[in-house]
Amino acid sequence: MELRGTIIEETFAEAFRMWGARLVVTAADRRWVDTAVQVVCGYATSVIGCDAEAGREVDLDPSQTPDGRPGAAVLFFAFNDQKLAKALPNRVGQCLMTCPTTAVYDGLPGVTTTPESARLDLGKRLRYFGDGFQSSKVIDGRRHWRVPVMDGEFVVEETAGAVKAIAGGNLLICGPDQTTTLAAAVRAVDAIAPLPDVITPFPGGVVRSGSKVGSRYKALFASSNDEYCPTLRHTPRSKLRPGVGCVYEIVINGLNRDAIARAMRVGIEASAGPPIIAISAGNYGGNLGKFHFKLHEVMAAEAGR
Amino acid sequence: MSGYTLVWKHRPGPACVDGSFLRPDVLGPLDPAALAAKPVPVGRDLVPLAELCDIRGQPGPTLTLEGAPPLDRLGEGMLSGELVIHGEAGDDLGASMRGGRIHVRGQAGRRVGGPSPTSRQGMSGGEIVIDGDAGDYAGLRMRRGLVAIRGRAGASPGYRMLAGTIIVGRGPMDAPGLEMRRGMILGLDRTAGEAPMGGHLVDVGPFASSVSPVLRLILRRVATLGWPVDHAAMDGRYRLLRSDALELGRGEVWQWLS
Repeated sequence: MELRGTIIEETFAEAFRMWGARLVVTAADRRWVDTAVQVVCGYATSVIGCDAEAGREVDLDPSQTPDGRPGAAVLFFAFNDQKLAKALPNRVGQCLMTCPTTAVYDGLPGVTTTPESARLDLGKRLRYFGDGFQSSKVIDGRRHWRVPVMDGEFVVEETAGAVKAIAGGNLLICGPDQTTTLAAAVRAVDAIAPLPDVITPFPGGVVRSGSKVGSRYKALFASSNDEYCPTLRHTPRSKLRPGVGCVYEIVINGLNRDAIARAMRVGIEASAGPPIIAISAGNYGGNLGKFHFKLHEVMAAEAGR
Repeated sequence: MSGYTLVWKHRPGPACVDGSFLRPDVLGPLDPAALAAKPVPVGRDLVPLAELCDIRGQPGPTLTLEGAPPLDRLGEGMLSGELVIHGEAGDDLGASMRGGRIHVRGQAGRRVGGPSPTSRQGMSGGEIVIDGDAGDYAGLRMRRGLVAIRGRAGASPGYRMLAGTIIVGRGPMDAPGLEMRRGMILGLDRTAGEAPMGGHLVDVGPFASSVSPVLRLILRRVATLGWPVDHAAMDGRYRLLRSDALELGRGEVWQWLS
């Protein structure tokens, strides 16, 4: 299959079950929203080495936030609800409570505790920083904790909803060199950015150190995706087509399957075209991840719309 | 929203004064025949509801009263649904209510959201919006929930309040939060900003609303309940007063200044 001269490989992205949560972060102005989001999403690229994967889902106008201030929705993903329950308060406590003027609200307020979803303690744990001076306020059935801080009050919702989600949707953009391939990858990230329910958690949305499962070193459970490294194209394992000198990966996490498929379509549409030689996807033979996003099916669904 | 509308009739003889049976969560699910036959205390007698009012509409979560006298104890103990009163409400509106909403499109009497005769605590949930004035002791001993008075409040709103939120739209407040333990009382008449409120409160000082995003949350919530609060209040300056330290010092009175 070709799209504007770019080969769309007949392969699939292999994605995994994760748990996801959405927080709405607000602040006095856009500068502090951006600072808060940048910090809370720090060191949150891959659960290979981080407690969670996180990213800005969408910026929110004052009319879209609970307190009428500028804000952003941030998505967090972790292996399971227990790990998310640990990562969320840690990150909010260290990165958002400390950030001037911020407030934090649950972005999945309708979620209840079921086998498919959970309510995670957030302000319920962070309130103790108030050392007895904290207080709560129930507004429209949602409890908010008010923790006194030195610029006023840090307001944080008592709990946050979490749902079963999917992580690891991906695209491999294969081009002739760094400059043009990175430009294509950025086009894909920019096209995916406005979409709801998904994030691209890696730096600027782009990964250069794509990984495979396992390693020749026992201590590591992931290692470099050597099949796509251009300096190793001489090895028999190389999957690079002739002319490919650079590969960038875009990893997509989402709250549901449709959101990831849509984001992959949009990413392929935006990045395909000269001089990109091929667009592929990372998988592990289909044995590890529960969710398979076949590139041709993803694009066919787009064509069918 | 679907529900019944009760249009009061002029009826000779003793008047109905106790409105505690008028609960949307209790009357709303009844079929029209059962609702019409619902016995209502009037004087020493019980009379069918249909003798007091015309019944319109169908079962549903909203109960609307039109032309009713200012009945006491309207919505007492209600758990859910919405009670809309076109006219005046008497004393003890929403006494010990635990959920749902009450909207009075007129005045209300004393002890809005206060305790029912059999309870020590006032309302513990739900929201009450009064388009007009309210009588003395609004939010008496209230435990949780919201009382929003678009007009003036009588003496000592939030008297012995345990928690919750009271908003007063007009006029200086007369001794707000006397003996309150926790909770928030919000005065939204900026012309009354510097008015004395009584020696029981400790003046903490003026602050911009940005010190507490909770103020904005509350004001935006009230706007969704049919009270389009002046947008300037969102970004205004407020005077914060705290309740007496003998009562924990955790009650808050926020008075809009400018």
